Amino acid sequence: MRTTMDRRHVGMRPPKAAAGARMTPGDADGGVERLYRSHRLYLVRMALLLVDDFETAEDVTQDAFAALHRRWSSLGNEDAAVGYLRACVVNGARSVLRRRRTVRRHPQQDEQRMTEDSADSRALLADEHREVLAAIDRLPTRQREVILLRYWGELTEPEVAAALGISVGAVKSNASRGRDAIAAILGGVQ
Amino acid sequence: MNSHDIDDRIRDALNARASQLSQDDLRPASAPTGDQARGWRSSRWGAPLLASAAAAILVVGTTVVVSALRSDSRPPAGSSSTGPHPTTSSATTAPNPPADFDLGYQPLWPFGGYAAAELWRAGRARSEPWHLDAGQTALTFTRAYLGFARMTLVTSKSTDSSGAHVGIGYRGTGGRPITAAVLHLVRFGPRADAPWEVVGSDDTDFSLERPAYGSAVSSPITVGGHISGLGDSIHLWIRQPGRAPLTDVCCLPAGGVQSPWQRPVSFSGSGVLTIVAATGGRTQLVERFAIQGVHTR
Repeated sequence: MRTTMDRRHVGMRPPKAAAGARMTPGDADGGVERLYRSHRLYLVRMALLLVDDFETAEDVTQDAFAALHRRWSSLGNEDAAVGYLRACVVNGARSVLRRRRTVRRHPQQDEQRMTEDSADSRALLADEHREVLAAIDRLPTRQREVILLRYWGELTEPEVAAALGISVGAVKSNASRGRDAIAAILGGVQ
Repeated sequence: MNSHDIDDRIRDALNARASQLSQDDLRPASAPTGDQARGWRSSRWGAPLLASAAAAILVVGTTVVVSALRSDSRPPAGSSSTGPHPTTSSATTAPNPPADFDLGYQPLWPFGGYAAAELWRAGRARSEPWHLDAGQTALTFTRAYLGFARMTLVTSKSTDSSGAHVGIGYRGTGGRPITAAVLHLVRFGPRADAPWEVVGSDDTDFSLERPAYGSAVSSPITVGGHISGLGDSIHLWIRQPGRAPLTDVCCLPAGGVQSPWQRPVSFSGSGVLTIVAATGGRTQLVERFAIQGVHTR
């Protein structure tokens, strides 16, 4: 079995909520505000990778925090709250992507218009990074989501599974297939 | 390239992309407070229930529900003679607040939230069996909520893992069924007997793409998409259940082959918005339409 996910790169590891910290059910405003300060940038970046559009990424994240506020009293601790936020961001991003996919007849125009900012900003990246991102873009949705959360988000397999609503086994298989597909696209030999 | 190489390349590329967004790039915003979160939700629940009352008035008397290229899209027994009645009374019947459910899409109609859907489900034996029929829900949405009374047909219906996709249309020259739009519906809840909810349209030769699906918007907005067709005129509405259209704009000339169209529109209102774009004028007022669900900031 190949070990595909080492943890040598930790730059994008999400801010750690106080491990298992109990939340005050009646303090939704304060609790959400704390997580908003500590996790907003991380979640917007996650959404950016999923939807590839700055403005939409911010909207998806804001909706996630609004959902968290409503759900606050039913979440036992801040770890659960952060997991809930991740799942909300993934679901929000899926909604955005679903909408984009439905307009199948206009792929070029859609891409040009909706990712105009994205294209501009991607152009600033090194060729090497652009090649890899283009390869990731070609993956099936599930593999792409797993790769983004596992490699960038530095999430554990159970955390990825919870965020995507799939089993740990599915995370492993999709990560492996996605990684192999990226390697093949880039011309690497695995 | 060894395994660590590819891992590093993936990780480095993703980090580089994500790092293009810094704290300073985020627009000024604050965490949602209780009032904001509750207000957002109540607008999504309350308005559809109000709309249901209005829709019931609109729909009563509907006698021509020609549906069903397939038998399973026919209305439930007993519902076609009087037309479907949107949910109105079940909101007061459930004894316990339901658990939450993330639909994964922007709920548009007939329920504003999972609680309302669960309330209906709990009392489904008493009213509105059409909620269990995706075709009838789509048709009622089109006729009662959007006000396109000449849409009388369910022209197609399919289901897949993403939900139901229902073609809605009318009879053209010679009685030929013509599809005006394909609506996307999902079950509002994890159970097999959960009611259907309209969440969007699957657009092809006439699309509504801006603003983005499920996005947060504020007035004014630019509404736009693409169109293929000759000499069409586009009519735009922004709707909320139970209210007159927030915006009613006509007529934007458009046509061509996959030609972009767009128009800035203003509105006043808050909560979930259904943006509606329709073409028509040659054979009937509405020939094709598309919808987009968004909500206000």
